[in-house]
Amino acid sequence: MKSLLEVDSIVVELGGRKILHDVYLKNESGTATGILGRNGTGKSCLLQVISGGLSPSQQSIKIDGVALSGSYRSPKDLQYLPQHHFIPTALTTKAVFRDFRLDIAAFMREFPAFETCYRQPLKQLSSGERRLIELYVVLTAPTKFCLLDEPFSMLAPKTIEQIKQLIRREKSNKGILVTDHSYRHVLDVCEHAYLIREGKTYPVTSEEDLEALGYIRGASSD
Amino acid sequence: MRTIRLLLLFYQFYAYISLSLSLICAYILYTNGAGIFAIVFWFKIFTLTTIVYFVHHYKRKTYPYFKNLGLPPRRLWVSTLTFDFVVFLVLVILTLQLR
Repeated sequence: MKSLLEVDSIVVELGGRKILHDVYLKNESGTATGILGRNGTGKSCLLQVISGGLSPSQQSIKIDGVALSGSYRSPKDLQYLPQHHFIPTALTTKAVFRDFRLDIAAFMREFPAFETCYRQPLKQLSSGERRLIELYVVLTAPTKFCLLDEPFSMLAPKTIEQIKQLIRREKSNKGILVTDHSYRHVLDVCEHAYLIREGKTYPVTSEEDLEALGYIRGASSD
Repeated sequence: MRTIRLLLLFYQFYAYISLSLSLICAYILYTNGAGIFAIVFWFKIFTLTTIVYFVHHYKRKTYPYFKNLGLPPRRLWVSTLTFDFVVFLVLVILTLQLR
């Protein structure tokens, strides 16, 4: 059964500044939707609002027509990858997979480098390795929607290609919202994309749209 | 079982310092008697508030981990603080009975 995430009428004010005020986006399971925008335009804020980590002045977030209110989100509805590391560093890779009830053998088949270090605490791994584990568990956990904030940062080019494959595979059974500055990767894996500019979302379909809206190649200023 | 394991993981962020302070409170009560219970009680409340402030500040980046597993921050705090305070009260009662 397909699920639909609809985000509308979000108003976020931080320090007296209106970050978001005219936002509309939707994401259906089976698809990935990209969110692009310059630094400070509110991409991460928007994902935090959807995940319930930030309380906006106004919001309308619905999954399958049911409004999500307050800050609680069921993990069956949403999994959220913040842009920073979020797994307690004392945990081992094995413990993380046990907590998420995921198959670590499948992970190690895809990323054999972890065969030698899955019993080590995360604090002994590199930032890229930690990021990969975080991304993998959020992407593969059973849920309706995944919110990925900067999933391609800290990763090597080859790993990025593997992650893009993983996103393509996982979106067959869930909806995925992705925000990242590597817009080519985002456009590559997403069926739909939005650009946030001056607090408002604009649907975009190509690099030409991004250029026209001043996101790339400096065609116009904000 | 998973929920308890996750609550223990979160509690470990401040368990050592908080349990040590509870033991110090028990020792003070043991040496001075029940007459200073009010002081010890408010000392525990004050130190616990300080601990909550610092743990929230330094460990808040881990909240999405617990939230992705079904434990929002409020539930983490209410559960672990309740447990910690019950341990404190049990220690106080045992200390006063031993004295």
